[in-house]
Amino acid sequence: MKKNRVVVNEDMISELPEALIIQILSLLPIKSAMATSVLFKQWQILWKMMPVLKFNYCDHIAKTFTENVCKSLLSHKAPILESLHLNFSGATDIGTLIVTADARHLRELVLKDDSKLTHFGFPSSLYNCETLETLILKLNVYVLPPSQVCLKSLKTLHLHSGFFNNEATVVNFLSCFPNLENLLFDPTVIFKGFEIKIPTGIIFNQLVHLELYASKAWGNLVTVMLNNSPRLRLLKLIKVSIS
Amino acid sequence: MSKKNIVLKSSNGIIFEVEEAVALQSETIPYMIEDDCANDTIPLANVTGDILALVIEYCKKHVVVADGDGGGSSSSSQEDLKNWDAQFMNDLDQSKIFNLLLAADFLNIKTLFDLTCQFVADTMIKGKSVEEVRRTLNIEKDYTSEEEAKARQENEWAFK
Repeated sequence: MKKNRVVVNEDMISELPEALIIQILSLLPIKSAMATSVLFKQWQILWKMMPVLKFNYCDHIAKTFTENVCKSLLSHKAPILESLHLNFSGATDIGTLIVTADARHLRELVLKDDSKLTHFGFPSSLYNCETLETLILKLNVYVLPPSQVCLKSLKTLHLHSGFFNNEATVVNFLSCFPNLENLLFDPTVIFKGFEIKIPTGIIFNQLVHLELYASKAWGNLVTVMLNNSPRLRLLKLIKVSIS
Repeated sequence: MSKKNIVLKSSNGIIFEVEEAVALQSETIPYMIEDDCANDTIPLANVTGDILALVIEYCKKHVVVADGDGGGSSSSSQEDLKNWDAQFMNDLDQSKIFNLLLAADFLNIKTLFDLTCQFVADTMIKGKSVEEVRRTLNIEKDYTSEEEAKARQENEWAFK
């Protein structure tokens, strides 16, 4: 096919409406997107309007990750932060980052810990995120929920790896999300096989999509969830064997 | 079943007659048909003839594959389509690319819009130094050296 490249010396990208430039920036790795802030004065603010921010600790010198991400979140200007992805490792102060992101009206949070070595306490600051609708945790989370908290906005929860100490923590945890519509538990979520008795009154009224990796380690969780989810329309059970 | 044709008119008066299925990949055109049912020519005041020709070329290619084998297209045709898209974008100069992006936005053709945005991000910005991006996109520097240094300092890690 013939190449027909005409040399243009016109700055066409700066003529685009800002919303389109922001769309383009959103497709870049965050580092490249932020670096565009020094291209042209008008661009200084554009990355700060991106609705989705994905940070990876690999881009940062050790121990600067929390500080750098915190600074970026504080300078973020979009009225709503649609999604924040944090791929972290080791000594990240996730609690501080969650509080900072929450102030930006966060809708979706994806936490991923690559090291997967240690158990990570479920960040208590998450329970205060009133606007959070989606929470995806890809880390070895040790869940110890406080009682009497309620994340009314949360609709989707994916727990890819986790550990519950006893029956009460499971009950407490699940009752934090009364409006959950989609729930996914990965095989490595461990319940130690104890029986779960959900007290009457905890009903998943909005739950329509439940995805569980069937495992003996769960005791009667599947039965309990089925009995308490009147609107369930899609149940996906995936058979796995845990060695 | 007879196929209905739709007539599109570019901003510089060039007429294109296309099958309805081709035109309806644009989510804007159905509204224009509704608004202007007495007249069968749809005027596109924001799109010039050369760009509209490209939009139609893209839509024709994509409508054929969607119809191809009764719904789900095979993985090989998906692969072919991806290669075709890449070649299609590669043959365009920068001015056409940005005008195509504006046209895809105005006509609300999501796949073409996404393709164009991704192409700009991947080939004109990603992996390039600030100086290289300025050269590629013909952006004239309006920072003084001191101002630029200060702006870089704000998020130093992004420049390493």
